[in-house]
Formats: sequence, structure tokens, C-alpha cells
Amino acid sequence: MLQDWDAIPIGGETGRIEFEITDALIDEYVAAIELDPRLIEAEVDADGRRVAPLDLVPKHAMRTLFIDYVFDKLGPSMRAKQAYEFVNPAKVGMRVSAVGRISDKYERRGKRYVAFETTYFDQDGTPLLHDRRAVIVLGDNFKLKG
Amino acid sequence: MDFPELTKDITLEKMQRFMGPVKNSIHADPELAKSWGVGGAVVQGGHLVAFLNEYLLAAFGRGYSRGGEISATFVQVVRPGDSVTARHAITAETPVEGGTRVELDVWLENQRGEKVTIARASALRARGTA
Repeated sequence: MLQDWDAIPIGGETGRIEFEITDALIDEYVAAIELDPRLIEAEVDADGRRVAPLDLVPKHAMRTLFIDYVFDKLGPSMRAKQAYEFVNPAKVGMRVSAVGRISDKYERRGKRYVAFETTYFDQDGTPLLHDRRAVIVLGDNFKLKG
Repeated sequence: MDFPELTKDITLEKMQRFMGPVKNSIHADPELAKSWGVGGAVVQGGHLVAFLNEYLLAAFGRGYSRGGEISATFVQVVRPGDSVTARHAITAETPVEGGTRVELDVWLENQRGEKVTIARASALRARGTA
């Protein structure tokens, strides 16, 4: 059920996820984005484990963390902004976890935006990357009056 | 620090492959996108940032994947049939421990030369590299 603008809770949780980085996930992602495989081959760490492409973790997690919430609660929307801070690489065998939250909502140039954020951690609590994004909401229920 | 030539041709099939087994998406379903008032399927923002990340990773390697940052704004939609090319302009270079922190504007432009995604990024250029 769609929310009213005033009811969108800043700080509210939008989803949580835990998953393992696998070779299959990496292969699927590399093929989907047509990523130059040399970049992946160059990214094998000293312990011999493959390093995941930079976007794999947020790409794999975004539906559970954010998109389902957006679809159910905000309705039609499009991503307007996306920011990443890459801290440590995700590698095969890691268990990654994250909790998505609403970080802000704002109006700009007659349009309304909702911002989200999360930090992805490995199983030891080491941060992997910070993910901040904002969507512009398009539904009639979010149109500004006047 | 060599930046690659990076141009990606966009097709609906590639967009759907990127989205995976998802039905209710304006990035994979042109009819849904029309019903949302966006005129047809549009490329997912994450897909476009992934191209910029590939561009920056190729240029900086671990100087980007460990400590790099990017903040992107999607200023124009990209649709099937478009092609996008990555470009950059370095805006600042600051000596730091281990090398130089490079700040830059990066963007994707379409086949008409219009900027469709603009971003600010930073990465470490390790000492001893070009």
C-alpha cells in the first residue's frame, strides 16, 4: 500500500539481506554487464580468492534492500542519484550483510525525492562499501500541490 | 593512469539481463515503463554507474576499488538503441601518503554527445605510477 509523503519515515528500515559471494554470482554479473574480464582476472587477492566486481554487492542486494520497498510504498519512481564509497573488496566465500534505511526525503525544483543508504559488511563486521541513492517519486500521490 | 576507451551499446536484452529475473521493472518492461509515464524502458541507474566504475577501475585499479568514491546524478534517460561513452576531466590532484589523491569529473555521453550521467569521483594514484 502506497504511503503518504508525510508518513515516509526517515531512518526507517526498508529491508535487510545476508548472502554469500560465489563464483556463479561473479560470472553472471560479469556477463550481464559485459565487463572486461581482464579487470576481474587482475582482481584476485593474495589468498587466491576472486574479488567481486565493484557493483556486484549493491546490484545483488538492491531489490531486497530498497526496490521492493520503493515499489510497494512509493510506487512509480526513478533513480536520480547514486553514490558509492568502496572500502574493502568483496571476495568469493564472504557472507555479506546489510540493512537498508531511508536517510532523507526532500523537495527540489517542484519534485519530491526519497534517499536511502546502507553499508555492506562482511561476516567479521568489516565494512565493504557505503551505498547512498535517491529516487524521484513520480506517482500522483506525491505530486506537489500548486 | 590510462583511461580505456569505453563505449557501451544499449539493448533491451542487455537491460533485461542486467535486471535478472525481475518482471515489475521499468528497466525491463517497456509497457510498465509507459504506464509509469516515462515513455518506455529506461536503463537502470546502477547499470550506468557500473560503466563508470569499470572505467575508473581500469584507470586506477586498487586505487579505486579500495578507497575510491563516486557520486553520480542521472540527468537524462538512456534507452535501448542508445550508446554511451565514458569521459573524464581531472579537477584536482593532492599528494597523500602513498601517492596522489585524484579528483575528477566523469560522465557518460550518448551518441549525440549529450551528457546523460554526470559524476564526481576520487581515487588514489599510487606513487610510482603514471
